[in-house]
Parts: sequence; C-alpha cells; structure tokens
Amino acid sequence: MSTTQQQEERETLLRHIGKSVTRVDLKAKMTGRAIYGYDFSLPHMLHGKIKRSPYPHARILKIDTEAARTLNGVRAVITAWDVPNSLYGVMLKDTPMLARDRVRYVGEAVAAVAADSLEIAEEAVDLIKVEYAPLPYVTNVEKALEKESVVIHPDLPTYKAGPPFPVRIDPNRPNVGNHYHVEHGNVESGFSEADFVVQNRFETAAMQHMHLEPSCAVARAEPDGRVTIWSATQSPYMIRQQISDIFQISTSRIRVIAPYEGGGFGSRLEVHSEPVAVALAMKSRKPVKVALTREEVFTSTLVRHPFVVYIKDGVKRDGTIIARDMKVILNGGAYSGGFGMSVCRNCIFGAVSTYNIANFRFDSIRVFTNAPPGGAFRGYGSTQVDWAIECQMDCIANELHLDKIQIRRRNLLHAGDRNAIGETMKDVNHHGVVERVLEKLRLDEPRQDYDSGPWRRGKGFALTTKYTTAPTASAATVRVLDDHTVILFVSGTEIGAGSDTIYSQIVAEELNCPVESVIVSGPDTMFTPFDDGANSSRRTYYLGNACRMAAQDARQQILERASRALQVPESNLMVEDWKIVERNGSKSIKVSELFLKDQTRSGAFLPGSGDLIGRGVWHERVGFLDPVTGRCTTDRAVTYYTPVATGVEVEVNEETGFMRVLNIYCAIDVGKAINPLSVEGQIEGGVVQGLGGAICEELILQDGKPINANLADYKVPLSLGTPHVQAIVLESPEANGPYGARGVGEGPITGISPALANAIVDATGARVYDIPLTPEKILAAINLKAKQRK
Amino acid sequence: MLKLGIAIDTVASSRFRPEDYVFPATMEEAISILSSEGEKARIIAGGTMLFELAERKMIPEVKKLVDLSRIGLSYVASDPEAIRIGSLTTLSELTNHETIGQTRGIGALTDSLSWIRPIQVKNVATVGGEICSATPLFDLPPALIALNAKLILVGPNGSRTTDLDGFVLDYLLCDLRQGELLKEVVIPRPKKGSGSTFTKLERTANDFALLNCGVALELDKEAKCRSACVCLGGALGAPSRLSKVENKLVKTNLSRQDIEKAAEFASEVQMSQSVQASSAYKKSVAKIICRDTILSAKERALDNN
Repeated sequence: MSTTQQQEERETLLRHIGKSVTRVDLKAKMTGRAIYGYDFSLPHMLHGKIKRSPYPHARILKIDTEAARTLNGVRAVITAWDVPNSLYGVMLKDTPMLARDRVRYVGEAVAAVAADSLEIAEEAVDLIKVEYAPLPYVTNVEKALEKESVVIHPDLPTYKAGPPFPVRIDPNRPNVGNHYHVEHGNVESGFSEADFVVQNRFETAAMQHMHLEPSCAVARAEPDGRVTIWSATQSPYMIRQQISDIFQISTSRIRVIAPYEGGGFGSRLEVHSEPVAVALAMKSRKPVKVALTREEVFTSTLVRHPFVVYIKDGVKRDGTIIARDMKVILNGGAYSGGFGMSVCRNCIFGAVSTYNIANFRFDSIRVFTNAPPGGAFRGYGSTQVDWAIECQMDCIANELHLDKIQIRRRNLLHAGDRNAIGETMKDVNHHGVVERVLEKLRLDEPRQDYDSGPWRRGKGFALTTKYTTAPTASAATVRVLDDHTVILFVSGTEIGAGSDTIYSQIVAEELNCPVESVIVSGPDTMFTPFDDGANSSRRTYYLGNACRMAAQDARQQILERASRALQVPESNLMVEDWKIVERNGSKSIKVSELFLKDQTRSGAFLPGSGDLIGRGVWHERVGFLDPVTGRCTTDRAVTYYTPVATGVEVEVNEETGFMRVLNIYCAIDVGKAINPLSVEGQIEGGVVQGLGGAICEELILQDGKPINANLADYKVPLSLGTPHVQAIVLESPEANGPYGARGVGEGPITGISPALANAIVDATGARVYDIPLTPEKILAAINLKAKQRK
Repeated sequence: MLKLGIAIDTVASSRFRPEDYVFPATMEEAISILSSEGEKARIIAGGTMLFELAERKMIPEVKKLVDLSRIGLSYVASDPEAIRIGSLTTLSELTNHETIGQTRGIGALTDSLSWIRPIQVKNVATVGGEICSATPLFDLPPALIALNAKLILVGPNGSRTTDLDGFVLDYLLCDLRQGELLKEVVIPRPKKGSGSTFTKLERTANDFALLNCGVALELDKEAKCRSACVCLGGALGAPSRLSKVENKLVKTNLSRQDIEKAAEFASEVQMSQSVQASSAYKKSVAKIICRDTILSAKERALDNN
C-alpha cells in the first residue's frame, strides 16, 4: 500500500477531525445570549472609573480627591498612595498600577473611583483635581534614541527584569530598555563579495488591536482575603500571576474566571483594568466592574509597536543575498507593555526563517518614549520585520532586473540548513505555498491594464514565515459522567477563533462519541488546569495535544473497567457512542453501567476513583536565545515554523493615489485543518486585519496626544470595502501536531502589507516605504517617481 | 478651526447626559421651547451627529433635547415647480421615495444618498439634520446646493425662505436663529437639458468624505453650458460654491479641455488639514474630483435633452 493510500485510509477513519463541524458556541452567540466579559455583572456591584493623564510627560504635584470622595454614591477613591507601591510587568517590572509621581503618556491611570453607578463614578473622576508640572516629552523613536533625549525612566537601572530579558543599561542611550543582537558569518566580508548593495529604510505605524469588546474586569474581594476576578482575558493564568505580583497575594488565593472574549489579538494577554478593579474592590468591600470605553482602549491599553527598520543587503549578480545587515528600532511607548521586551527579541524569528543568508547581522532595540505602550499583537514583531524584508526582496529584484519569485526561491532556507540563530531547519513548505498562490496570481500572464484613464493595475507577492513560541505548556482534564457527557476542563478562553469547537472535535474523536457529548468548561483557575494562553498561534497544537491525551487517558480507563466487567481483554474491546463492544463478539456494556448509583439516585460514582478523570499535558522543551550571543542554545528555538504566501491584485489611481484591492490570495500550510471552515475564517480574519494595518489603521499622535482615538477618525476596513479573500489551505503534517496540525492564527497577517506595496510598484513604478499605504503617500510616491523620470 | 478628531478631550470621563427630552405636539410649541431655552435646548432629529458632537464637547452644553418627530415634518411632496422634502424625512425614506427616483436631473441627490452607506444611519438620520448640524463632511448639502435648494425656516417671527447656499456659515455653525427650526427643503424641478452628479473621495467604504463635490449643469439647445453650479465639500468649514470654476464653464461647449481648465480653479480654494489628509493633498485632488463630477454631469445633461 502506498503512503498516499495509507494516509487516505487513515483520514476516512477520522470521524470529526477535518470536518467543518458547526461551532459549539454558535447558538449562544447568534442569539445574543453568550455572556462576554463586558456583559458580566454581580449583585451590589459598583462601577469603577479611571482618572487619566492629559499630559504625555509630567510630574504629579498634587492629587485632590476630596470633592470626589464626598460625592453622594461614591464608595472608594484610590490613588497610588492607596495601593501597593510596586511596579509590575511580565518581562520588566516597570509599570505602576496608578502613577505615583510622574505620568509618562496621555491616558495613563492616575486615580480611580468606585461608585453606585457609572454616572456617579464619571462625575467623581472629573471632580478629582490633579496638579501637574509638564515635562519635556519625546514620541519620535529616533529622537528618543539620542543621548541627549528626555529620559522616560530615570530609575530603569533599578527595575527588576525576568531572566530571559536582562535590561542592558546603555549610558549613551538612556531610553533603550532592551537590545537583542545576533551575528552569523562575517557581514563585512560578505558585503565585500557582493556585486550590488541595496539598502532601504522602512517604517510601520502604531496600530490598535481593535478587539470588538473593550477591556473589562469585575473583581470581588472575598471575606477571607481571597480575590475573584472575571476577565475576558487571553491568558487567565497570566492575569493571576500579575495580580499576585502586584498585591503580594499567593496565586492560589486568586481566582480568575474568563467568560467569552470579544477578541484579543495580543492586547488582552496583559492586564488592563484588572488591578484597578481589584484595588477598588478591596477598598470598597464590594464587587467592582471597571469597563474601559473604546477611547480608553485606544489611549490606555496597548498598540502594535511602530518599527523603523534599516535593511542593507549585499547581493551577487545572480540574486544570491550574500550579506544582510538589519537594524530594527521599536517605539516601545512609555512602558514595557507586558510582552514588549519579547516582541523586541522575537521579531528575529521573522528575519531568519525564510531565507538562507550566509552573513547576517540583526540588532533590535526597544526604546521608551512618551507614546502609548507597545505590546503583543497578532504577528508579534514578525509582521513589521516581514514588511521590510518582503519589500526589500522586490527592491532587489527590480534593481537587478531579476524575477521576483526566482530571487526568493534562490535564497530559500531548506530542511537541514542552519539558520542565522543556529537552528537546524525542519522542512518548511515554502515551495508549496508559493506554487499555490502563483496558480491564482498568474504572474506569467500578460498585464491586463486599462487603455486610458488614471487607473493602473498591478500584482504583488510576499513570502513569510510565522513561528510558534516555545517553551510553553497546556494541560487539559476531562471528566466522563454517567449520563454520557464529557466535561472538558481547559484554561483556553474562547476568544472567537473557534477553539472550543476544535477541542470538542478532538475529545469526541478520541472517545468516538458525538461532538455534542462534549461540554467545554471555560477557564476558571480554581478548577481548570494550567495553560499558557491564547497566543503565538499555539492552542490547536498545544491544547489540542493536551485534549487528545486527556481523552485517550479517559478512554483507556473506560476500556480497563469494561474489560473487568465483561471479562474480555482490552485489546478486543472498542468504544463507540458511549458503548463498549466486543470486536467479533456479542458482549457489550454502556459507559453508564460502569458507574454505581447512589441509593437516592441523586448521582453516580465509580468504585475506586469516584470520578472518571482523564489528564493530558503537552509541553515542549527547546533551547533559548542566549542574551549575550543571540544564538539558540540548541538546534531549535521555536515549536514550529508555518509558511505563508500572499498574492494581491490591485488598481491604483495615478491622479489621486487611491487604491482598490481587487483580490487577495493567502496560502498557508496548517499541517491539518481540524475544522476547515474555522481555518478559512482565521485566514480571512488575519488577512483583513493585516489589510487594515496596510492601508488605513494608524493611531496618530499630535503634541504627544492621540487625536483619532475613536472609530470615526481611526479607519478600519469595513465589510463593504473588503475584497474577496481566497484562503488556500495546505496540509503537510507537523510531526508532533494533533493529527498533524499546526497553528493558523497569526500567519495570514504577516504578508499582506508588503504584497500590497509591491503591487503598487508593479502598477505605477512608485514605492511607499511606510504603512499605512494612504492615498496621500501613494500619490506623493507617484509624483516623486514622475519627477525622477524627467 | 476644529475638525473631527482634533481637540477631543480624550481624558474627560463624563458622557453626554441631557436632563430632559421633550416631544412638542405642534410646531408652535416646538418654537416656543426653542425660543425660551436658547442654546440649552437642541433639536434632536436622528441623533447620529448630536451625540457624537456632545460627547466630544464640541457644542455648548445641552440640557434639553427637543424631538420633532410628532409634528408631521416627515414627507416628500411634489408639484410642477418643485420637490418639497420635510426636514424630519429620514435618508432611507428619501432614498426609497418614488418621486426622488422618477425626477429627471436630480442625479446629484440620488448619488449622494447612495454614497451615504450605513443603512443603520440612513434609517434614522434626517434631511434636516444633515443640513442643520453644519458638519462639513456630510454628503447631502453639496448635492442640494448644486441643485439650488431653498430652505423654509419657521420661527417666533413667522417663516422665511433662504438659499441653502450660504445657510451653512462655518464648521458647526449655520444661520439658524434663536427659536427657529427648519421645516422644509425645496428643490426646484431641474429644467430640460440639465444634469447633475455628486461624487466623493473617502478612505474606507463607509466613511465621512475627504472631499465631496456636487455639480449641476444646464445646457442650451446647442449643448453649450447655459448655467453651472459646482459645490465642493470638505475643503473648509462649510460646503462652498466654486464661482471661478462655474464662470469658466458657462458658455463653453464643455469639451474635456474646457472642463479640465475650469476644474483647475478648484485647487485654488483654501483647504484645511484633517486627520485623514494634509491640505496640500486635498488641493491636489480637488481638481480631479471636480473634473470627474463635471464630466459626469455633462453626460447626464446630454441625456436629458
């Protein structure tokens, strides 16, 4: 039997995997009855509101809360002096819950109020009088990099940092919070061998995550000192740890429950309103809800780091890139933004996972400024680095008059190659995704342009690779009940990606039961086991494996008990729809019959164990990037790499700079599509979010203050203007993935910006070097090109 | 000058919470409330703009909202001279009204209605609100100005008729006097041989205009331009007619060259910077949108001969 036949046979044996099973949360969400974090409320709950800084940088002279405290209906008012004097942060402890003596960006929390109603809380917040002495500020990242710059964190040398991210204090660059450096081969000699040198500077803007549900938390201080928090977070255990750090409460005494989450995209891995809600609940002794407004989400949560990327390539005549030198500067904003430090480091993975460059140097620097903090964002630094690299690949092709696809193929990394950080590459199916997009994009066809008029047509392409981080871990527990139901306990929040459905499919597959038999608990750190969170496109792989193992464990226990009951060896038994049947025999028993009923018939139990519990955990140990050398300590630094190819067709108006995106093709190798419809949804969603960052999304600062912190002035793509996105799914299995699956969440966002910029060049000859690609920038580039031609 | 997106106090927390909401039963009662309360009372039509402006603290504090929905101002009527639109008519009602679809020469109006995209907004936003909120980015006013629309206003001293052109004075400011309300918009029936178009430049498919333009042309029997009305919105605080462009068009054959020459003057207009674009960019594309709108209006006028 050939391997293809074997594979086909295996697939036909799969009952739920690979099927577009209807989402398990569909009914609740379609009928509007699903409870999201923002919907959640408790009896006697107070409403909290935060007083925020109007200055990008100022000293706090005095906070007068008298008028607020005496307002009728106000139950608690807090400032920095009422909460623990501690700084928090996942990777650098630099962030105060409430500013104590200095504010560092517009929108920073200064004080907070809890009151009987939201209206009273709002009124009270306006009654708090804060006296400031404004300080000089800096929001331009390259200015903040200078020695003479305004210093954002004079105490930076005293801050505590997590072990993987030591702060390197550089007296010449006082605002640099993190610096990652790696060198591979010899860059100088590489350049001396080059026939051409191509160098460019690329930029990206501050983009907001734009999760539909604004950040929100409800906190209750229990009488015995424990704390309960309801927060639609991407990572309940991360929230628990942060609250523990801030309030110095043992983690077991903090309970985080996550309702449905209306999107997160990286922002909600970090605490936003949770600490303030807890502090207000402690002070008022009542439950407190702190729900941010859309404006507060813009000004006071996180943004995608704006990057400046300098890239210099030495290229041989045949298109081989012999040397590459990259300098990446991240505008980190006022604080570490939770995961900002690791965005600074992890953006390296986007730069070393597609092309094989013999001599390579990479420096990334995260710089504090008085802008809103940068944090984790779908793509996690890869998107910004890919923007520069994939524009650069076209620049090289244009300069050397080489084929754009050929130059990419020529420089590809192959299985077995060592990449620049010392990883041995596994087989990453770059060729496959390129082929599939080219079938649609048809670059070989003659250009179809208009005979006259201002519109020009163009096609663009980008090849990117998204990593999934390691080491991380996910655990799952299943509890099989006597009414033929299985409850799955996981701490993976359903953030909209369809993960609850994926877990249900996997558990139902292993127990060979209907998907409807599975109930997914929803995260509650008191009951559900550890999970690293909804990040890095990791949950289908990590939690998927954990769910599979937990279900297999439960199945094994069922078989053992049935074997004893039926006096048939386990190997002769199979489970099907909650019945254990003898192969080639007549004996059978229902799972419910394995349980004993209590005399009152109020419940059932299993002799010996009480419950039927299956457990699973998946974790992967890999090397880490040595902070000194930048190189991986083993031959693997990530869980896996996922290849993505993006092709676009556009029309550009040479008179106005307006662009119409006609078609987007996105191919990604997901290993195995456990739920093909969900995979398509993730691809479309990722591409459209990427489209937003590519063409219109930008949080604009003027005088240090965001001026478009609302949905009228901050532009996002709308369904009416969104082109058809064709999702192309490839399935070359991942060795350790559940049924061969990899993650899909982030890959689709990584290639759309450079593909569009390259298409504009194809249409008009003009290149824009910074996103978003606004009509104004496109027109300026077209006019510049026209001038150069003259 | 204020723009959408600028001068917002992003850190103020209190929201718009008027103290009173009243439904006058008659026009007289409405006028009496508006006269006695002054700026503290404000007409609420669809509310799509009022809440936005109040939350951004861009209008004086409002204590009382006056809802005109019960005084019979929602209608579209027509006579041989004109089409009459009650000020409380919603954009959806207007879009779906057969008179609007059947009248020749008012393409600018139907264009502008189709450019206003979100159906949820069209279902509540009103013709009167589009005009009296005096927002420079709205799409209906330039189209109506091009069509030479008149306004019938009623107030404590009786009623008066005025041209829509010139009624909007500046950003968020129109010539609505104390106690006055807009009763009706009157669009004179276009003559045979006239055609009109409205176009818009917008960043997303559901957006305020970067610039918009309404054009109405009337041709004589030789297809020469008898009269031209060209109105540009989004440049400054109020939509404005471009008289230089109009003068250059009149008496020409409206050849492409004539139109291009005339449209050049659109870029001479002073433009304000906005969140979405610089004034230089707006200047460079004003002549383009102006040219394209005139070209289309000409085609429609030729079809109406």
